[in-house]
This record gives sequence, C-alpha cells and structure tokens, in this order.
Amino acid sequence: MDKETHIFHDEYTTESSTDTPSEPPNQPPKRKNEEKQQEQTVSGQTDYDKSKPRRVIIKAREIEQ
Amino acid sequence: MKVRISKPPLRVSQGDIYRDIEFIEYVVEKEGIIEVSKIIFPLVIVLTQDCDLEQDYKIRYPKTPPQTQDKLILSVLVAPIYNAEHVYLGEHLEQIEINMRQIDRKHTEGNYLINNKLPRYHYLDFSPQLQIAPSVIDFKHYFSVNANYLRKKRSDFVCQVSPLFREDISQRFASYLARIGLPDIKKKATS
Repeated sequence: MDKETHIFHDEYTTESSTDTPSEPPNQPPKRKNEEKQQEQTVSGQTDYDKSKPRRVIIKAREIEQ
Repeated sequence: MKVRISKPPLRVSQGDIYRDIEFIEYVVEKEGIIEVSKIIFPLVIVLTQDCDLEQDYKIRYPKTPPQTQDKLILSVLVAPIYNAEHVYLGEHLEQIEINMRQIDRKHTEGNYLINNKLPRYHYLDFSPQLQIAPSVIDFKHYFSVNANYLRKKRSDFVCQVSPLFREDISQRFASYLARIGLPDIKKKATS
C-alpha cells in the first residue's frame, strides 16, 4: 500500500470472485435452461447470481517505501 | 409503493435506493498481506433520518464555513432489499452461505409478508419502468456504510421512495428496532 495515498496498487490486488455476465438486480429467478446457458458462456469461472448478495475477498500486499 | 425515478440527487436522502453497496465484514493484516472481506448487496435502501442527512450535507458543502461540524454524521444506516421470490424460497443469502427458512406464499405467513404484517420485513412493489421484481426489505440485516462512500455511489442511484411511503418504512423500521424481547416463561417454568 502506498503510505501517502493509502491506495492499494492494482498489481498487488487480487479478488477471489470473478466477473460473470450480469443481470439487473432483483430480476425474477432464471429458468433452468437460462442458467445452463450462462454456465456455458463462462465455463471455467465461478458462476454466481448478481441479484443475490455475494462475498468478495481481496488480498493485497503492502509495499515498502 | 410510489417511487421517484430521476437523475441522482445532489445529496443522499432517506428512502434512496442504491445498487451494489459493499458491506465490509473484516479487514486483517498478517505478515504484510492485507485481507478484506466484503459482501456486495445488489440493492439497499437508506434508513437514516432525512433531517440528519440534510444537515450533514450542509456541513460538508457549506455556502459559508460553519462554526462547528456538530451535525456531521459518520455513517448512513441502510437495509438490504432482497428479491421476494428468493425470500419465499429461502435462497436469497445462499451465495454468502447463510441458510434462510422458506416462507410459504400460499399460506398465512406469505400473505402477512405481502401485506407488511411481519415486523421484520417490508414488501416493495416497483413500477414497471424500473424493471425490478417485487422485493423485500429485511430490517434485521441493517448495516451502516460510510457517508462519503455512499455519496460517491451516486452513479448507482436507482430511485427514491416517495414521502409517506418512505415514512411508513422508517416508522416500521423504528418499531422493529424498538421491540422488546420477552423471555419465554413457559420454557423457563419447565426447565
């Protein structure tokens, strides 16, 4: 972390969650076949529904000045 | 329920609904690695009293420098809004590994939820313009967010619940918070 600005440097920041195609908040739940389509388009990534609360964990290393 | 759909207002107001608001669960530092865990709520409603928010705004952006900052607020109280369908199924918090009970919409409790007879919840039906499914505020899950953070989220402003409807929400929230938990006398007597 930059001690003067207190801003994490991007290159040392990782998020445990990955972005997936989103839907507007609080849309009615998807039907099964729609869910399957979404899974196929983002294969290999964590699939989650952005209309529900989700947890993100960020890890960052402090930079020595 | 009636809402105002407009450009983001200059200041945060009671009854404002914002999307993608972060709740910081914890921040820990170990051997130079800082770990931050946060929950991102798709929708929240502002519950802090509007007079407090107005006074805070006047202090932060004064026309003439104020003598004191006595009325500055540190955080804003909000409550999450969940998709009602997910609430009925008890699935609204599955992504943060919290199992919730189901509410049977066809029976008394489901009707109570829609008619705002369950003190914990407030049912919201949005205008078709907003394209938001019927939703539920869960007063038990209220949390606070930094006032400056919320101000910077103006681009995520969704709409504002109109006066009277927002007062109804505020009054029900206050009543829920002020409830008195009485001991279960029957259970105590038998143990």
